[in-house]
Amino acid sequence: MTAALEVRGLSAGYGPMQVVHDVSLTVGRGERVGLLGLNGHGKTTLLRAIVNLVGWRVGQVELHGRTLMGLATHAAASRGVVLIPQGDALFPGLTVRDNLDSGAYGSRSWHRRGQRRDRVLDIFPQLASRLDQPAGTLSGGERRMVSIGRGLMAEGDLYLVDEPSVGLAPILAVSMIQTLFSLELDGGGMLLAEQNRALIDGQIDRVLHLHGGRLTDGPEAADGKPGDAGGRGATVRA
Amino acid sequence: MSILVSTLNLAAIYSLVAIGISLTWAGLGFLNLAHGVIFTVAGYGAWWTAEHISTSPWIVVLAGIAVGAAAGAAVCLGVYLPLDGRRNWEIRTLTATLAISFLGANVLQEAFGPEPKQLPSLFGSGQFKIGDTVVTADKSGAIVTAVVVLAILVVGLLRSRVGLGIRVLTQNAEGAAIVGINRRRLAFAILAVSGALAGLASVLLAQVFYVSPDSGYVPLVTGLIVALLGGLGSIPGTIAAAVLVAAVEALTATYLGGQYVLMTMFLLIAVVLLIRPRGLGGLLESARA
Amino acid sequence: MPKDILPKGFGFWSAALLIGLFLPLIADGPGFLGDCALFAIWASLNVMWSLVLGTAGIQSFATLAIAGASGYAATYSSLRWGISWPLMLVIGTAFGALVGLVVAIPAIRLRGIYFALLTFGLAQLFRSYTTVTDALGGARGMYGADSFIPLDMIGTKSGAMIGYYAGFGMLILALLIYLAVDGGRLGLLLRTARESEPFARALGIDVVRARMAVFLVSSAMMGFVGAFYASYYRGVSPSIFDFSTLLLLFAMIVVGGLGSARGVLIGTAILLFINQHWLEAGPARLIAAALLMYLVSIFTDKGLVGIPEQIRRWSAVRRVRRMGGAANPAAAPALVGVGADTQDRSAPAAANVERT
Repeated sequence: MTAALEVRGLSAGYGPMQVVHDVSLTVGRGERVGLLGLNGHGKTTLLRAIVNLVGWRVGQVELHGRTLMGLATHAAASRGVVLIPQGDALFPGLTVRDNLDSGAYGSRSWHRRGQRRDRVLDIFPQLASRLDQPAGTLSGGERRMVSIGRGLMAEGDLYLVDEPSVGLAPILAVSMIQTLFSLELDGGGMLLAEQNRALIDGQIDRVLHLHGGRLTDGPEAADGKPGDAGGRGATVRA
Repeated sequence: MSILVSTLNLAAIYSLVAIGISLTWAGLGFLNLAHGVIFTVAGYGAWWTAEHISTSPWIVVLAGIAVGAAAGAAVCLGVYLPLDGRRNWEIRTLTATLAISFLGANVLQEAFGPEPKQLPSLFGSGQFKIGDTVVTADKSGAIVTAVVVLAILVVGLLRSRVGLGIRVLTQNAEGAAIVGINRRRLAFAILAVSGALAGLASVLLAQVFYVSPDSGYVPLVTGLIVALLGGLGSIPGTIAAAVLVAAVEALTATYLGGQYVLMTMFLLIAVVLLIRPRGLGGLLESARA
Repeated sequence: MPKDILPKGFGFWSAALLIGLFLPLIADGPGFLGDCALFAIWASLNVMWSLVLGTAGIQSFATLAIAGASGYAATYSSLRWGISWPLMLVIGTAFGALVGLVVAIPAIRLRGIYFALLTFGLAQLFRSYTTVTDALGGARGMYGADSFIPLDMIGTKSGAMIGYYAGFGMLILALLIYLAVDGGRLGLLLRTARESEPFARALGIDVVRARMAVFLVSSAMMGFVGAFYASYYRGVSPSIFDFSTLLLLFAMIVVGGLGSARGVLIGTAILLFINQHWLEAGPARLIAAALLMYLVSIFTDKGLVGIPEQIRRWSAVRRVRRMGGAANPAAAPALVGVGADTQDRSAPAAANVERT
């Protein structure tokens, strides 16, 4: 059985700058994998590289055994890769409803958008009263809900979540992460970048450490869950 | 009262032209200077149809719209797709569309000669009175047609999937890619719709003026002014700006004389831009962060 | 290697200077020399405009408005107070700087495309104002100003020679200004600012002031060119503010290559040649010019002078690919850093950031 996501020897960056160095990892079906690392060590670039949202990338990225190389971001998205980006990338002038519906833009989910919107509102009831309000007028926490909600509108096969806790009050951050981990994955996978290990501890299947753009064994390598438990491991170049 | 009718007539046509420029800029990030030529080509298309196929008003209008849409799609094919994402693409799209607008005007002149062409009358020559003002059928017909088409456009943008895609593109290109929107494919829709609107405007304006190789120049310039004043990407802003510009033009022409129109228009631009450096759009959509 | 000792572009510029100096000796009559003088006028304006568009990064279309207004000021003062041509040039320069100053004020507040609209409207405003103002000659313009070409030499070879060398001198002046500004401290500051404006601010660079300085210097020179034009033709008419002339000048800059004096000269020469020498071809010459513009903008990224660099970049990419760039990640940055005309999304995304 092929993995939900398989990355082999992926390097990526912007212009002359290389940020991600030769990373290999897998995310199995139904698996939640944490990507730990400090700011500026390439978590965001790695997630963005998977959907080709970087200046350049080389290596191999496969979704359920089919390559994503050579596909533009929108094509990866319509294959079922859902990126919930840092900074949310919402559409501030559009209403919350439109923002959510845009997540179902893929032709598969478009006609079921009403149903899926109801599901998002079940998860974030707070948004129900805001549906006709422009997303630009929301608070930071509500924006994050819209951003995650938009990701859930698609019938995704792989969720790439970039620091969902950033900029939120601690209590909100905890509940946001819990919400994410309580989602049904239906054979898809989730790769969640985070710098705060405490937030994801105990809820995650496996943790990878990213340091200086490379996967490392990480400081907690001894706790029985080495960073490269996915089997392939990072190729650390001399 | 007659000023009001002239204002509405001009505003209707300016909105049709400017919305295309505005959507193209906001959604695709380039200023389409070929918009004037699309306008002209559509006018010629309608004229050719009237000469060779049928003078039925419906067919002539549809021909103008269809040729405009095709010309818009051609700009997508010839300018947007080859340049999208390339180095210095902003200045290159500007130059390429400028070149097309030179090219189009001269090719049309070569093909059809410099003499203006007249379209058949679409709305008949009837007229009616509101109070003691005579309203001609061509003006009222143009106003009604434009309002209907704009209403269809707005509903389409608000309700349909492609409409949502276009609105999303005007907001955030990266977010659009993340949700799976293929910008290049939508570019065809945006430019074809813009072209269709310009084509309709061309046919409507040809009820008053003639179609000639450079008849797209004034609509292009006015359309640019209206689109920028409206705040690029904002449809309510564009319509408001169209009414404002049309009112200034109608008032100036009536009280000062036609040769002063450009001067008052410039003063209007200066005043609006100095008060609202990003156009009127922000006023109407205060929500935009 | 003498090539390394000499400054970059030495060959081109010395050849251009030599040709410029001795061209009248081999040229065939006043018509051609007149075209050359016109070339000098347009090229001087374009060099200054490219300073504004490229070096300062100000999207201004006020070039002809400034030059034309200064031409009007110079002609008017010559007709009214009978001043001679050197004073006309002084007045034109001062007037250009003044108009530049007034135009520059909104530039602080307005960004990009909106400033373009405002300055573009300015030329239209001047055009309609001069057309309806009888004191400025109305639609026919004002003629009879003093000129550096004596009256009795008009139409003769020596008159054309004077016009030619005067234009040649002015073009050299414009190029020296370009060199001093673009290659000097201001140019360096603005290039830094273009890389990253916050960074430049952090360094203590007053970006707005630097931009204004470049804008004012070039406005003054545009005023000089406008007065020169008025003196050369003994007057001006509203057609100097023509939209089509403005677009032609813009096309000259972009076809040659924005941000390079050499490109501006080449673009000006090519389009002027097409415009003046294929007159008998009628609209076909405009079609040819438009096709050239279209092809240049589609296939080159920095105009005609950018082609060698583009080819170098392209062959570098091919070389790396042939060596197996994809298999060797270390080569990848080099591959994409120098190559890749396609930087997907980057341009539109940047445009978007600027807009929101």
